[in-house]
Amino acid sequence: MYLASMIRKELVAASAEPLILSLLSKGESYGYAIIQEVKARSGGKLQWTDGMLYPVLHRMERRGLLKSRWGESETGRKRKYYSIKKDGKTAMVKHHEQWSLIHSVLAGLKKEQYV
Amino acid sequence: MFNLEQSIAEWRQQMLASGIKSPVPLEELEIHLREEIARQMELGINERHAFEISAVQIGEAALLKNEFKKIETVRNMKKLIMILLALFCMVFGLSTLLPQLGQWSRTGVLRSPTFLAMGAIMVIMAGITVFYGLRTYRETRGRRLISLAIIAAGIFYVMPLILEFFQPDAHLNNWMFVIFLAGASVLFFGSCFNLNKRMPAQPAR
Repeated sequence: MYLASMIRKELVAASAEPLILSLLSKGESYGYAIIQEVKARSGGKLQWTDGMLYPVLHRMERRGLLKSRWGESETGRKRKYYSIKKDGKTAMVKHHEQWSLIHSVLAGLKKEQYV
Repeated sequence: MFNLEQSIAEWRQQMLASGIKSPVPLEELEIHLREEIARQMELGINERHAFEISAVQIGEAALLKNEFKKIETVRNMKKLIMILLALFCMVFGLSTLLPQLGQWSRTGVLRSPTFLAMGAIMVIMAGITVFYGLRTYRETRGRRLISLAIIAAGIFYVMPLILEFFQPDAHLNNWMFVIFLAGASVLFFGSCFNLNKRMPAQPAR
């Protein structure tokens, strides 16, 4: 079922920033690759409207979390590469703390249901 | 016969028509579209369907425009505040300069050259900020407020010339200074006023 397997759009929107920061903390990347990696890692359950990624990236760049540069792929295709900045790393740590807290609360509540 | 390049050009036109005018977002979106088309075609889908699937996946133009506009609005609000603050600094800077210059002219003693230099630097820096801000401000909203602030600041710079007419013992040097100040003010604030009127008609870069 679509609704059972796909992640709700509100949660997709809320998770966009931590996911982008976490992906870019591994190294610089570009919009298309970011989307493909998120799709692959979530088994296709985390689906972004492709174009919506770019306003998010631009907003994060404006806030000083990311920086960008124009480059070329090995095939000569033009690409805009994004990389994480120091403030981005700090924001990522905060996101991880908050998402871990939510996860532990949920896990605790779930555990209690089976006791 | 399906023509991929023509379809991409039409898609680009749709995006432009919906209001995504800034070259960077549009270029990024087009690069993304081309990458997705290439991937779909590698999976064995024909050109026409690959384009159609990719265009749907990238999203509706109106939706994307709204998201990009949110960023632009915040940036332009900051710029509006910067312009108004810089105009205020120009007025404030001059208000610190004039009494000292007046005293220097009357007594021949300059009490605080550092303070005078700081005031002059503030006026120059604020002037550059106003000019730069107006050249890069992209919103139509707020233009009237900027125009009013420019007129107010311009009047403040012309005031010494008007007041000089009421000085019984006006010195030639004073006259030269206030005429220079009024002339420079008309030139600078006039250019700013003109720039503020003209800029909204230009497309966003």
